[in-house]
Amino acid sequence: MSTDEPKFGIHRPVTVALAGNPNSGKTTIFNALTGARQHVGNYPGVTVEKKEGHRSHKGLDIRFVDLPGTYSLTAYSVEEIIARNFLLHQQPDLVVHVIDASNLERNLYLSVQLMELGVPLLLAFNMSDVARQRGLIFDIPLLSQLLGAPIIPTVGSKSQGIDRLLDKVVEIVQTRAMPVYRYHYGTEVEQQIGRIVQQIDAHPDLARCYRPRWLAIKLLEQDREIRQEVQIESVLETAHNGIRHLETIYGDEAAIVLADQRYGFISGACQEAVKSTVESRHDVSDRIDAILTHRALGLPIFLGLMYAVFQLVFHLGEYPMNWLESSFHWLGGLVASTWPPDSNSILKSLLVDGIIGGVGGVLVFLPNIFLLFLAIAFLEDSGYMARAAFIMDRLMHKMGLHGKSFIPMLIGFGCSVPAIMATRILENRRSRLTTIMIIPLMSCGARFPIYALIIPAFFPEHMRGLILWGVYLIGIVLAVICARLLRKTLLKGQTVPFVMELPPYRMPTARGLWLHTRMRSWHYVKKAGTIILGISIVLWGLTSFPRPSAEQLEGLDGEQIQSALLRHSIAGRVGKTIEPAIRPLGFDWKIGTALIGAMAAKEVFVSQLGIVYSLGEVDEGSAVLRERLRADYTPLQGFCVMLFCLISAPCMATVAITRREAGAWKWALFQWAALTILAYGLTLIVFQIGSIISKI
Amino acid sequence: MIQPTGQMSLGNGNIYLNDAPVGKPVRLLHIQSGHALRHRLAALGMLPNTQVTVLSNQGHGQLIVNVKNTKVVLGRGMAHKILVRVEP
Repeated sequence: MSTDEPKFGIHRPVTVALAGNPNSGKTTIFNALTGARQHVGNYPGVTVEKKEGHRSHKGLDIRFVDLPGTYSLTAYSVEEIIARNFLLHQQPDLVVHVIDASNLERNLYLSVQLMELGVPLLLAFNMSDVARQRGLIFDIPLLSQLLGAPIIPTVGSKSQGIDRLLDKVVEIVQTRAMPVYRYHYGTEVEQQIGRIVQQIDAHPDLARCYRPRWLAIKLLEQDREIRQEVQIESVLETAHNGIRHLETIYGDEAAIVLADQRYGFISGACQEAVKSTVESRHDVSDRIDAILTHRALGLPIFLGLMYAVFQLVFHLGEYPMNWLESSFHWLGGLVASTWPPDSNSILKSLLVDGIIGGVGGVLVFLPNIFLLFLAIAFLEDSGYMARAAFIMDRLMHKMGLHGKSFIPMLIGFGCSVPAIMATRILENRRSRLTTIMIIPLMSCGARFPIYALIIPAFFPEHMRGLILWGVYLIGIVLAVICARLLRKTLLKGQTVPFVMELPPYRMPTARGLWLHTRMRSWHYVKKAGTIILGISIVLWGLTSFPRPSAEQLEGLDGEQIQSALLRHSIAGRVGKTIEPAIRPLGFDWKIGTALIGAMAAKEVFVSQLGIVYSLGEVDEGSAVLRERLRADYTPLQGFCVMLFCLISAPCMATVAITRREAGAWKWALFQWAALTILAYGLTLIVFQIGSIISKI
Repeated sequence: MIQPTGQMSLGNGNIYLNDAPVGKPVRLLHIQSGHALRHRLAALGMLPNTQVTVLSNQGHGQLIVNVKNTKVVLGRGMAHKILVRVEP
């Protein structure tokens, strides 16, 4: 391999990219390298997480970028394209390839491709302790020589070898040592590469953008991205001839021939430099898997675990949640007390009802969110998540989704916001978008107060459980139908062939769990402080303005004033205006106004209805409100309200999180509009047919 | 050596991976699928002439296969495109 002119100049701070297979322990190394100084974002336009962190070592400020975990650098998945484009276009000063040393051959396949890219490479042989347990002995100097890249053994989970790794990073960056990789294909392949390189060299523009040898290899592999970029007839034709030539000789696709030769080279190097002393293949992981992926036991164990997670999140979280709730209540009272008790001050209302009420209403879920992410981090880091996906896959496949989608959907019964955030565990963008779109149909905890108000108001005791169960079931059935529909229309595309690695079980480290959980929870807090703050103020404005004149309020008591204020506000007027539109659903303006309030957060429906009936503060247990409802509406109307609230308009927090996680407003708006239309249509049908039947 | 395409067929002891006996090493002969899948499998080390072992096959749903000392979950449809021969 020739030494090309290095494109990797020194600029401060120095950028070091971390590459590696999924499950290679890349994240633990990244955590050990950067500690708490991390930043998580998304790559522009895609939903793949982008993690960055800083570390100073020996006076050098190093920026570490954690690339998505990939098995190769082809163009067949978003992750691969992102990793590859980062290496090509951002030109990091050094790439640290984190390798699972206990699984060397498969991991080195990526190393060889990184060498082909021509990037300066440092190999971190991670989990070298596990490798030793498995009886693998490495001749590191020899292997390093054979591969042409320096190697440092590490144990990420115990932070071993991290200083040596950093020393080596600084050394390579400062000496600007350009590697000389020793990897060659067989004569036939090299001949074809040579021919294509010759053609590329005739086009200086192209040769300046890409390393010619890499470009030639990618053309032989028929890489669709690169073929689109090249578009020079002579180059493409030479490549085409090369592919045909190799296929005639080897009888298989050129890309497969290249892959085969890479593995051949790796296997050769390993035979010389790696000794295996133990022949045992049945390790602890196999024994655990015999139970956890058992054909009969697997599913019950999984469901039991999920139930435990659910209990943990929503019961253990209840105590700190109550504390937070009372703190916000106390804070609201404290702020309100600076005004005289009967004050109609706009500022007081904005601070207490708008800001503290709105943001507080979202922040109280923080303990649940924290516990949830902790549980997810544990399932992920231990290696169980991949098994869960395996167990659930058959069922989820019928919905056109991947087994892993089940986990966010389950979380959706608690709250859509963390559920949508949890879709990050899905690698495929289409599956992920589909899952995000249907999550609001999982009836969340905030919708429960609505059911709790309405069901006892209209239905006899023996039917209540059944009705509640039915509402939840309707949500699930609709989710299944919508998922199938989306996968067949808007989010069509081949179901990605299901290939997934089952990583060995590992004990998660406290540090790793803490870092993951803290980071994701912090995102939630930030969102509450920005987007939700803004929307809370807007909705407060809608329910508070315009205000009626003083004469109009004369002679009314406190609760009647509340009601008059709401009726006079934009929300109240909109409720009246839309009455003709919602009358076919069996709703009047009172329900309409409450529904507008529910757009902020579902549970607001109940308190809004209380205000409309000028009952002051009410909750779902309010007997007076139930009596009023029973007087005004029929059980059919009551059911239609629940149906509409179940399906329609996801709350603001969901809209905001969908926009962020899907990467575009159009998805959030589509979700909002589609669900609202679906709710309207379905409620219309139910109410109309129900009315006809009840008349008979 | 990589076997020529198109000349592989069932009979003479060749079977599809989904019919392979559990726990017995088999040699991968040929993958009858499009680019995307072949590349994905190649990256995981599933190339012609590699030895793999089926670890779990419940008669329906996916299979768990051992490839180069890692466990890989394969969809059944995919396994039906992979031609193998039971090792003697």
